[in-house]
Formats: sequence, C-alpha cells, structure tokens
Amino acid sequence: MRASTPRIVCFTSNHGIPGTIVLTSVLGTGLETVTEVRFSGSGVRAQILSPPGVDRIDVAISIAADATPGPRLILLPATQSSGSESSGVLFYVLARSSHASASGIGSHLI
Amino acid sequence: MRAVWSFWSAPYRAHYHRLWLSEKYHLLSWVLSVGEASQHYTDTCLFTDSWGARLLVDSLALPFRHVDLRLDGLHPMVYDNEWWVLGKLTTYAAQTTPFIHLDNDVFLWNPLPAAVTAAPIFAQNPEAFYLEDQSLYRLEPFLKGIDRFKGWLPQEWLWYARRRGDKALCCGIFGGHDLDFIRHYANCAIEVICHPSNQPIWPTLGVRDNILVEQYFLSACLEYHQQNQYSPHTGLEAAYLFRSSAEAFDPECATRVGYTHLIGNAKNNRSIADSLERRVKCDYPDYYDRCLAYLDGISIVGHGRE
Repeated sequence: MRASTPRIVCFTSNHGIPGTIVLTSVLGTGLETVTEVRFSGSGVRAQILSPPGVDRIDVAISIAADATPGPRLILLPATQSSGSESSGVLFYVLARSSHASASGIGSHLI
Repeated sequence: MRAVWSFWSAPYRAHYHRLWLSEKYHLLSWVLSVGEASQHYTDTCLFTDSWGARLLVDSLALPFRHVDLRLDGLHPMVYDNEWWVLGKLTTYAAQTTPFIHLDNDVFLWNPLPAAVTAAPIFAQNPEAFYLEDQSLYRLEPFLKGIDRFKGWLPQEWLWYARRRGDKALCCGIFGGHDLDFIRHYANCAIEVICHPSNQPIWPTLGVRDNILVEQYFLSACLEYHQQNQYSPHTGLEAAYLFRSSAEAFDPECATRVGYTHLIGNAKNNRSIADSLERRVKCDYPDYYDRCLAYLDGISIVGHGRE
C-alpha cells in the first residue's frame, strides 16, 4: 500500500522570536514518511524529535539570533519525493516587540 | 444579557484538539468557562452539533439553559472543517437577543463592566498589526489569492483593503445589542468562506486564516459603516474590555477586570494546565469527576486522560 502524500494543516505553535528554540508539533496527514523538515529563507532550522506519526511530527525549531522577522514556508522532503514540497503553511519569526505571552491573558487568576 | 458558547465539533475533532495539552484540559476549560460566567449571566446558551451536545450536555452536564443544535447544519461533507470559525459566525448570526459570546478558553471572574455590555458591539480588545509582518493576519496572500482566482469579497472588505486598514478586534468575547449589524457582519463573513468563487483559493493558502475572516473583517465592517452616512449603522462604535493588546496581556489589567483567556499557546502550557486542574477539582468537584469519567470511557477507543 502506498503512503499518502504528506500534508500539513498547522503547527501547535507557529511562531517564535530570534535566539530561541520552539518545541512544537507539525500536524497534518500522511506525515509518517517525512524524514526532514526545512524552512524557506534563512535563520530557521528544525530537528525532528521522535519518529513521525501519521498525523504529527514533534520538532524543535531553532531560530537564529540574527534571523530576520517574517514568515517562513515549511518544506517537506518526503522519503520517496525527489524534491522539497511547500505546504503553504507558514512559521513566523516575530519581532521581539510583537511576541505575545505564552501564558495567555490573566492565566495567573486561575 | 444572554451568555452564549459555540462548539462545532468537526474541526475540533479533526484538527484543533491537538492545540490543547490533552483532552482533559479542554474539558476542564469548558467547566470553568461555563461555571464562572453562569454566576454572572444566568441565561446561558450553547450552540453546537449533536456530537458536541452529547459531550457537553449529556456527559458533562454543563448548566446551559438553552441548547441549539443548528451547527449540525455544518456538515463536514459540505463545509471545510479547517474553517473552525464557521461555528462561531453561525452562532453570532443566529442571535435574537443581546448577547455575549465567550470562547471556551475564556473565564470571567467578574461580570463585564456595564459600559461594555451596554454597547451596540463589544469585543475583548482592538489590535493593530503591521501589514508587512503577517504574523497573525496574512492579508497579502489572501488578497493575492482573491485576485488570482477572481474570488469574491464584500464591499466592506474591498474598501478596507484599499485604504490599507490594519486593525482587528480580538474576539475572545464578542457581542452587543446591535443584532442587525452583527447578523450582517457574520453572514458576510460566512459568505467569504463559502462563496463558490473562493473555493479554489483556500488550498493555495495552506492554513485557513480563520481570524482574518472573523477579526480583521469585523474591523473592516465596523469602520466601513461608521463612516458611511447612508448606512443604517453609521456612527457605530465598539466598546472593549481592554483598550489594546498590550493592556490585555498586562497581568495587572487582567486582574483588575477579572478576565482570563488561554489564548494561543497558553492551551499547551503545562503549568497553566496544572492550575486549571487544581481549580476545577477544588471549585467544581462534581464536574471534575464527570470529566474523568468521560475520559475513562473514551480511553477504551484510544484516547487517554493525558
């Protein structure tokens, strides 16, 4: 049986600021054949943390300290594919000033 | 004022449940959201589908006074379930009495200020963004897709885009008294998503820009009608719980208002999840037990508590 073409729907966390590492999951379908996750542009690299599941890849995304703020396309070179395929899904390198708190609003009140 | 929640289960079950640390915290968030707000607003209403009602009403027994199953009409064979915002927009458009819609990750520790709930339109906070940044609102690729495929947009959107509008309304809470305006806005937003001419565009954009249609278009609609002397909504002004994003994220401001919103990554934060569990276990022990009983039931088919 052929594996389905990898397709990304979203990240659990799709942004970060320069000089940080973002632990996140790429969510989608047919992801079990993915061997590498890359990004367009420069300054953003991903490391797959564990064997990909059908619908999830856990990754650590390193954002270089000098990475230029802006969107990056995620690229998925699948095992049987000759080239990288763009998913259309974006990861955002934010300017430090636009980084929203990972703690939400008023979470200390819970 | 009626407190309204919505839950279209298809997008949640297919994709967006993974945004929570686990299903347990999603359920606990529902308990706390409904439990706290219903102390201030006793007229509570849930708009959902049959699956959602089985979960929230039959299994958790959350205290909704009214339950409306019209989101069964959003059949996933017809409606793209990556557009989770369709559930909210359908709910907004259906309101027949002044209301406050709360996301299920919003907790009202106090009643909202009267100046907010008396307004024709209100939302959590206004937010401005840089058109070049596209961290949250990816307007440029959206408009390019519309242009490339000869898609359809309402006049309010076209007008706002021409003048390079760069504001949005964060809708953790949303509501008001001007039901005609809200219905017009929500139905136009639904039409943007569902218009046949726009369907070829969405796959080319990748992730669906739900908040662009909900929050950016709301700002476009408001500003368009504010300045249009021939509009029945001319001069319309929105009220806000917070004056800006910066104020919303300021812990002192949130404390003063008595407001929590587990926006974005907060749903995946271990420390916040632990606090949420402690709070529900202490203040809503019966509901807490029901959450665990429900999770024990579904663990048989492969979904654990954690």
